[in-house]
Amino acid sequence: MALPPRDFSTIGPREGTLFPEVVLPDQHGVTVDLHAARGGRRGLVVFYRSADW
Amino acid sequence: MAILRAFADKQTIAFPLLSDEGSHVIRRLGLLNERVQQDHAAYGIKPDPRHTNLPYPGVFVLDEAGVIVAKRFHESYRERDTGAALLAQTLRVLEPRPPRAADFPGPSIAVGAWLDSPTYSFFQRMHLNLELRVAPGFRIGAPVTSHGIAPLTVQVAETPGVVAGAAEWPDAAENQRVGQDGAALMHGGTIRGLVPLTFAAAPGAGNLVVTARLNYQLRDDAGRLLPPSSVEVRVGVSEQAMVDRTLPVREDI
Repeated sequence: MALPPRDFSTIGPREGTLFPEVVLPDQHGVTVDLHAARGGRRGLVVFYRSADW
Repeated sequence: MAILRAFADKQTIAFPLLSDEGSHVIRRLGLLNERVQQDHAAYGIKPDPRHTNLPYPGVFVLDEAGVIVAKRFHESYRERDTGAALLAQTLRVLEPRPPRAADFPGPSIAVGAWLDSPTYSFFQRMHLNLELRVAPGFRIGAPVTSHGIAPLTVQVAETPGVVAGAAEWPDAAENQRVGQDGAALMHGGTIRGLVPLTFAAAPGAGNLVVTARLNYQLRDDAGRLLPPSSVEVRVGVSEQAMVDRTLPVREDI
């Protein structure tokens, strides 16, 4: 049942690199440029499976 | 977007929730999990036709320049860090001691103990927080191997359903002081420790008590070693009922 261990360091953007440019609409339909929205502050970018279920 | 707006309103979320309709960004970033359908049982989720465009669940921590300083991804969709645990582990931002913390006295020290959250849910990850306050006039052996003084160690008692990791001492380096003999590493004042815990008990396990023992040795300012000593701390945590996942499968997404 257990999954084989996965090396997440090589999945997606790597540590030590600039997080890619991401521009997406938010919950109010406003277009958000992730890096611009940080405004020079630190940030957490969370990927999750759903807000619905 | 309507789904995100409803979720944000319900959870009173003020930060932006971005909608990656079609999972284009998830694909571009290489975060698409293509095996959710096949592996749903191992992920602890029900089979669902909506599982085709899911990212791996995880968090990127960015510094001021937008550079990734930490990645925290979970194999399972059930595992979660608390916000406090995430900040403590990745940014070394320690939460202030909460009012619910309890104190446990030992010879010439007091140990405050609390968990990141007073509740846990299935596969919750959090920390046992320890705050050691050393009495004036004494120094305590550091967590690293010391010379001539026993190191500070933490042992978490075996508790069914609780998996403990190695203790971390995020602020130990800045409080580190070299002893009068120039060799022994010791601390005075207050230091904070964090023991990562994963609550893997099956749902319904109920309220739990996490018990840990701190082993330490003190030296007074005159250079006299006190006998090795220990303090036991006990912190209760209550189970938070899981969200009902037995929802009907929707075909319209």
